[in-house]
Amino acid sequence: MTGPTRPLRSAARALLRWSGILPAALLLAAAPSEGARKFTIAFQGDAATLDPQGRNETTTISIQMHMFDTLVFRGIDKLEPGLATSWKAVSPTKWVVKLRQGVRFHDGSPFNAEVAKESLLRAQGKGFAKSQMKHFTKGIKAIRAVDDATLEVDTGVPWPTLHEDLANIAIVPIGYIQKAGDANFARKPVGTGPYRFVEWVKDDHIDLAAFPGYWGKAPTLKEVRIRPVPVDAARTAGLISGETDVVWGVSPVDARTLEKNPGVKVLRTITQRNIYLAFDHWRKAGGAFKKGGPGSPGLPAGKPNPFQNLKVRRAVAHAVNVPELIRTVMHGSGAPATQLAPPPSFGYNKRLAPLPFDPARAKKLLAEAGFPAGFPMRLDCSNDRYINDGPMCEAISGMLRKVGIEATPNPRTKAVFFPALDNGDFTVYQAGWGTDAVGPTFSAVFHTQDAKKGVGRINRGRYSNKEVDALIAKASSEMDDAKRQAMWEKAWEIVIGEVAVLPLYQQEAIIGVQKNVQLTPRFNEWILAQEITLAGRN
Amino acid sequence: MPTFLLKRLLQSLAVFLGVSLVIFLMLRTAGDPVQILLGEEGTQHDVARLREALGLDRSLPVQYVLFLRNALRGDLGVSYHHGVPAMELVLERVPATLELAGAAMLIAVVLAIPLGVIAANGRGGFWDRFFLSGSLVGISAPPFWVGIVCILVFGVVFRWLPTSGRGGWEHLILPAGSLALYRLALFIRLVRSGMLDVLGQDYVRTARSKGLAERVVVFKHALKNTLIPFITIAGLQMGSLLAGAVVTERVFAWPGMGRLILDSIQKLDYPVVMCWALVTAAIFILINLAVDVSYSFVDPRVRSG
Repeated sequence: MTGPTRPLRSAARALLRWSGILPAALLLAAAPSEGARKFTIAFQGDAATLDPQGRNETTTISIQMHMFDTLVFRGIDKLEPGLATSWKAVSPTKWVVKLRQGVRFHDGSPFNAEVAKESLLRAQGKGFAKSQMKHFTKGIKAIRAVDDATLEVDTGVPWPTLHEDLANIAIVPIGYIQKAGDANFARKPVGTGPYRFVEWVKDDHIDLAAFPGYWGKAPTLKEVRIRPVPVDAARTAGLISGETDVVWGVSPVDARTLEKNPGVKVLRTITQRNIYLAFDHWRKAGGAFKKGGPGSPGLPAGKPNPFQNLKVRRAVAHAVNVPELIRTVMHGSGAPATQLAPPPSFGYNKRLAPLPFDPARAKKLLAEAGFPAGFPMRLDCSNDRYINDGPMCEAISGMLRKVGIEATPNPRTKAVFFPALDNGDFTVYQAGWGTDAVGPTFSAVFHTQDAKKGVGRINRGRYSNKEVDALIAKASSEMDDAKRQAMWEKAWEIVIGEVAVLPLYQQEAIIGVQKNVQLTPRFNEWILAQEITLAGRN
Repeated sequence: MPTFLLKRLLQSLAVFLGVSLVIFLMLRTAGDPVQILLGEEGTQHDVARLREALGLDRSLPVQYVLFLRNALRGDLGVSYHHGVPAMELVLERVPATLELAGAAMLIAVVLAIPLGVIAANGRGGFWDRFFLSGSLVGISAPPFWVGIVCILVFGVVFRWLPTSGRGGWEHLILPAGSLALYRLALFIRLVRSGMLDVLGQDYVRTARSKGLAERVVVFKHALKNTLIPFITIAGLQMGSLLAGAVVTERVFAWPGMGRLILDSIQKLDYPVVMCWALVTAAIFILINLAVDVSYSFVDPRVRSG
């Protein structure tokens, strides 16, 4: 045989011709998509459901909050009137909520006290066992619709934070749900919010259109498309190529690149997600892991548990250089934290300062505690839950080794890591805490663990301080805001002073937008189209 | 034929049972879905209540028996994460996956056959070496990297094509093209080596010596006999594409089964993973059946024997 035969040669020629046509076809394809595109917001994930009481997860709620309202609205930095115009505790156990009048759902049905009451009951699980908003309704013992515009809530015990709870519960069209059923409501939601539902192609897009009958300020953007784009780099690429207008969750590395791009803007804000180290306070010595057993598994068998000593916990705090971790591992994204709460939250203690990075002091404290030569330990971490959590685990271990604590990082997938923590399989771990509600934070993270009372679930290291427990009980039922603020500040002072846990830094939310998009990023990581305006158009 | 089909049906039942058991056990040892559903902020009461509601407080054998009983009634469970029937979630994504897999296979098969024939015919020549080294790149390049590079080049630099999502055919080109790359490379090598085997055989020499046109010799006599291994491999490739191109679908935000299954595994959404596994098993069973039947069209010996 000598070279390709004739028919083959012509086949090859045909192929070459075709390969010339392909790029031309691509050019043609790109042309019509310009201009006609809807304003597009790209999240990382899709909504789990469009039933606003069906799933408590940031992206899902952020998407739903385009279509739904709550009685109390979570504004950018404070609580604001939503479907309620005012709320007041008339006695320690009774709240009166005044409702906005003339509000209609997207299907035309009216909003009134009866609808508000039934919505709260549905969140509690009445007729909707799958509600994931149950824990926001613990303060609600009984509800009464006094008249169309007034709701009375009986809390049973003094409950100073009912308005904070109400900010989490969406008001739903009870009549429509009863007719259509829960499943159809989740597929084709109807709310009172600024946007009405148009279309949902799962994992591809959700289309929304401004609701002309909206009670509040009409949004600037009339048509919005929300898209889930799971891969960070692809989301960033969509912003650069001009296909999306707003991109949620830009990675810190991509943010650096985007900041050099003149066509787009990068918006940053501190979030309520706080990364911290937790310690085993209760097991006296190291040993192989056995559920409920006496050995702390991150330490050599039989050796005493150094973390029972405050000096050692303080040594850890002095050994970890948080600003340096933010600069390197987090590529400049994040802010050092002093407590497990974001600065704008109720109860935040402004006077607390982090223990400074001081390795010499750390070594001295270790020596004073009886560990002049340090000790070996395991640091447990997730590697797919928080931004750069795996590398962070390695970096912190490296810093601990410099003062003599021979830390071995143990990063694992979240599906394995968290159950291991709940079983007690750790000595020191790195995790995140993400709420601005101070009461739930204290009862979950710092209250003496008691499964029956439902407190201390995240207090896996079993920190226990009677004074703190008493403060939690007192503050949780103190109706006077100033007194309650002072109690929580005191509680923060105690737990941080004892290094019950070591707060490291607050994660940042990074949003990429086109140059003309104006938007204030939120510390709860929502993106709401109704809060977006465009430069040169209002 | 009827006994053949009956036998296949019984085999399929065994496959379904096996798949469900393996997936069930694998998921139950992978971690705790309740923790993932509630996050760090859920309380003990929430955890206990949810575990009970999902039936996860029972022993493993009881859970499995309950699953089988419900499955026999056609109830394969409700997604933990989405709150809708798991089978509905999986089936909703079949069209998108079918479209992507079909387009990718079409590109790969239509290009691979002529290119493989060209390579075999000009063995050692320029095109042969060109396709061989090119296919090596296609086989070795990781799909994630291929996807991101395609997005960068065609979506960001030239802006010819959308970077993600599903819509008109312009949305299909990049994901289907990058998915086809590996298959194209594989198939070119398969066709080439098959052709080389066959072209040296006596009957081809006989056909040539009879004075048949080269076109007839190559395409009618030689190519047809290389198709059996090709169809087998192509069928398996089609099966794996239909199960969901996990990486490609994720990179291009393609709303198919691969993306659903990855999300569901990460969230330990047991019912969805189970439904996906059963649907995938069904796809493989059907494709293997189709492959077996198609042998008889290509090779008469299979038909008679």
